[in-house]
Amino acid sequence: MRCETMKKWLSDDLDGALAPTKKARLEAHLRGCPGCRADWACLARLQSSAAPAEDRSPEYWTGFEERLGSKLAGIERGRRTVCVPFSARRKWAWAAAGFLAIAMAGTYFAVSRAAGTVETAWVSYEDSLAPLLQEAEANPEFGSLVNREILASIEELTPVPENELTVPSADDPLFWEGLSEDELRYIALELERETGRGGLK
Amino acid sequence: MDESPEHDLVEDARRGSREAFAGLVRHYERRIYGLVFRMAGNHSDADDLAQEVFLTAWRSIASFRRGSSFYTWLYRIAVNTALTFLRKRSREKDRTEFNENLAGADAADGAYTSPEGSSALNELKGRVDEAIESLPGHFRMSFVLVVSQGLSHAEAAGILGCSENTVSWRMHKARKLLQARLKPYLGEVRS
Repeated sequence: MRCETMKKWLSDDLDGALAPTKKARLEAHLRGCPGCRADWACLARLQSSAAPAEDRSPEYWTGFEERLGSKLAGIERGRRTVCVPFSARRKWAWAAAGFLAIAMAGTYFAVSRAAGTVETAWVSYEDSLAPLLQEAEANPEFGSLVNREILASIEELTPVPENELTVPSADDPLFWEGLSEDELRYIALELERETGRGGLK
Repeated sequence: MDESPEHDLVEDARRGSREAFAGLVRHYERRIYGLVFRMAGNHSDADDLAQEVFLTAWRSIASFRRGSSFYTWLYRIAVNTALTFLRKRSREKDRTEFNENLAGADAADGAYTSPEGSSALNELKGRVDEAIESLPGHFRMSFVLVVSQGLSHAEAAGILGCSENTVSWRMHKARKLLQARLKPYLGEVRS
């Protein structure tokens, strides 16, 4: 347990991170512990073997800086020539997409509504008349009935000429209700003159 | 340009001066390269990562807060770039986890069976590099920052965004893992 603690301190000491008081205790322990001394030698050898890699040639660093410089210039050029147009292009793309969506939606509703109307009228006509006409052709009695109904409906829809209009008679109660005060007074005077009775009070 | 104080270079770079930023690159390129090389384990990836670190720094230098340490900020970018790279590579290659038996398997291949001899030092350095590369990401990063880059625990903690105690603990664990893996070359490990 004590040796484990010392190994941790040994690691800190190799990094120059061990407090002076602990360093003194570590050195005292190493003097009396061959195992920890061997570990210390082992770690010191590891430390020296893990030295930084050898520096590269001056030509390498010149090339490194040149390549980096050209990449940095590329970034600047990219910012100027790519980024701004891309943002403007993106705005136009959004606008075009919105316009297209609205146009497609409008077209869809227009076509679907028109198609629905035509289809409904066609289906209604087919559903109502076609079966009746087919049955009328097959059944003469039913055919005559259909003919009468059709003629009656045509007559109802045909305007009646004025000379064929019927004049209401005095027997019709509606006749008297439809007369004005002047017309009633005129009728009463005529009746008094013809019959000697009645008249206006 | 390099003789200008770092503060002035940073301020000029924040205002968009590529010349000033180039001065900062010249000042830090070796340290950043050394860090990412230790994390990547090869010069090709280290070159790409170092370029990426400085490109990221250039893109975001306007967000660098005045008064804070530029090198800490730059190191944070390097650490994040390297850790992201390691995670990506780990997913792609399904790299093997660190395991203590690997050293025994390696010892059997004959190439490094004897650490003694004229090439023992080079062999050991190669083995140490391999062992460091196989450490888990955060252990490796702490080890590289402290041992390879020579930073203090406090500086490493500031870059990694953790406490000094965490760095100290990671260093201790990293050394134990390396010791275990390099047992045939460094000597017996006592628990």
